[in-house]
Amino acid sequence: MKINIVPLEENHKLLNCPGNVQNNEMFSSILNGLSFGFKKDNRQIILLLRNESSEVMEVLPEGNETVNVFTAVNFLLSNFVNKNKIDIKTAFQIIDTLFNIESDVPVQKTIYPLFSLLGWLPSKKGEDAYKAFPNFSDKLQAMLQNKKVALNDAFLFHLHMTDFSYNEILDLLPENLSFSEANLSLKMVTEIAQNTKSNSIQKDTSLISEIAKKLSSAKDKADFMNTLKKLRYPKVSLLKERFSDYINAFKFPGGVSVTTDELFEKNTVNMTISFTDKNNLEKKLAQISEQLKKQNDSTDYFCIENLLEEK
Amino acid sequence: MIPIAFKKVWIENKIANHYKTKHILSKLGDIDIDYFDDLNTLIHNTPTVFHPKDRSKTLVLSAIRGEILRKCPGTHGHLCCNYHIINQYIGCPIGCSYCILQGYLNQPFTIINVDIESIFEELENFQRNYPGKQIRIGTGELGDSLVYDHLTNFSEDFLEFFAGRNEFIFEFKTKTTNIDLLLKHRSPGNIVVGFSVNPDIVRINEEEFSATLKERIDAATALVNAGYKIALHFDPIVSIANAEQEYKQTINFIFSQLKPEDIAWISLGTFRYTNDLKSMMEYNYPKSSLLSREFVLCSDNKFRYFRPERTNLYKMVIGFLHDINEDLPIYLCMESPEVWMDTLEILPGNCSGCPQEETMDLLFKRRVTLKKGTQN
Ligand code: SF4
Repeated sequence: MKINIVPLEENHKLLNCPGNVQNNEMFSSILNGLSFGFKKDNRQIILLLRNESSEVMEVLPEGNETVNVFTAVNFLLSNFVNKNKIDIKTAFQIIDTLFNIESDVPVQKTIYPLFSLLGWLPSKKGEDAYKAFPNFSDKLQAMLQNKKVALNDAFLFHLHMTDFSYNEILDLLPENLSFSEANLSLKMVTEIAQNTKSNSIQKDTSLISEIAKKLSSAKDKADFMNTLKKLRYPKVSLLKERFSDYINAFKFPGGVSVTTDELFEKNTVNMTISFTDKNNLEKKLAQISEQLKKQNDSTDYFCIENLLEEK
Repeated sequence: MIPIAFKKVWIENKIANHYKTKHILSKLGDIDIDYFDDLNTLIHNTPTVFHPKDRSKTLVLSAIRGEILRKCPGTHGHLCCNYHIINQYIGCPIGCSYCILQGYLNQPFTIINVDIESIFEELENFQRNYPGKQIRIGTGELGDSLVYDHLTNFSEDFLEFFAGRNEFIFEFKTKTTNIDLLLKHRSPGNIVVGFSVNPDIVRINEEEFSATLKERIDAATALVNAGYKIALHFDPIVSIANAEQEYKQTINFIFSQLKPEDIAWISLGTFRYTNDLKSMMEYNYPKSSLLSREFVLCSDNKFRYFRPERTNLYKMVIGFLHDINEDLPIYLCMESPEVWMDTLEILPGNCSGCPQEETMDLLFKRRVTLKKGTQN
């Protein structure tokens, strides 16, 4: 479909043009009337997404020119629309409208380039997300709508969790999770479910309920994230806990800290001693030595290999 | 059955009349052909694709660019085996869910660099500049070395070039059985064919179009009979249910057909990924459960299984291999010194006081020249 773009003249009527309204409203009216229309800096624009349209548009600086609809939409979106203000449903509807326009040119060249202008995922991934979007649960759609999670993460979550009634988990996400924490939570839940599934013959439904049960007792956001991390990384969490319990059992004097590679990839353990003078150092070394002797019977977890070997 | 059905071929103008271009086109039959001058412009003007299947629909025949003979980059904090690579093929249709190429190839097509003479020139330069220096070279870094061999006949060119150049050990790395051209010739002695191996359950779940384990080992056996040495790559070793049983069966099966002295080297590497690969895998292979295990971020920005799990996997595979023969030449691919010590109990550089890389090369050289029946 070709659309004529001509300079706007006095007698041209603006169809569905809401004037200086918020972009969101503007796009609602576009979708009903299949036309764009709005005003910005005294420039008025209309784009009719209709086959029979030879209706009027203003704006392209070059003036009299024939462009295809996709180019026109691209121009409008890149010059006049703040993509952060387009909500996900509107973006979906615009993409939907564009997909329904017949064109000989492949979508990769017509629609894909517009995705990112709409805050949508560029390329084939965007098309897949577009196809999946109507099937997202209402809850997931609402989270997207409220910018609680990213489209990419929501899409992958849905893709991997389609077999599960995943709302049970979404209901448990604390309200005050940040954007990145919410995305991370979706990822971790997906991975926990996949891991559990590949390790057992458990029915999908009970699997989700089991994760939900463990998460539901979280007191607050920090506890929730912590519980999720323990479920996702059980061995790492266990060994970290074991190591810190071991260190804490020594009553090392103040100003002494013991650290190791966070994920136990290295065999070395570091001890830092802050001291003020030679006497102070001697005193602290004596205290450290005394503490080490007291724990002589327990397994030496300073030896990382012992720590890792322990079941 | 590997889906090698290119729908379109782009040919770089400067190699349009190259004999290999003509040869490849004659094998492709009736196909849509177009020409280009600049690869970057072509990439820029072609819609992005993510899935290896889509990348395998279009073939680009071009001249090799950039550094031709490169040392495998290795990774920070991990020991390197001093392998050298030539990027003859870029892109692969075999469709392994874990394929690292998804994470870093940006071109929406498969590239075959047709000007093999440029590669040979570079290798001759290397020989002149470093007389007598031993190196191992392979073409299987950015694609399977043999999957398109019936189109290119490159294997025959390599065999001819490497014959008598004993400072080079050349490896074809594959998951196919596309060995017909190799079998037409006896190995000149310094050619190794490397097969990636894993339990069949891993192939079924994660390697859509690769040959079965039996097919690969049958192919390896035929190659041994034609004088070739075999490399085995347990890479990626994957943490799966019944891992012990699965890997034991796999190793026993392999060595029911191959003898220890047929083996040039065995590399082991547990599954690892970058952030980029992760996001591509999640999208391209949503059914794969590889990513759901417990991984940690290592100093080279790659995620690996948590150290105790990794160590256990290595110990398990090494144990089964040692049950076959204690002297099998095993090395770890991109692993930390700590894990080398946990598993093989040596660091390559510590064996004889010479630098780590050279020790590795000498080890491999000894294996490749090992005569039949001399293995204990
Ligand atoms: S065979 Fe190698 S290059 Fe080909 S898809 Fe599998 S991992 Fe990638």
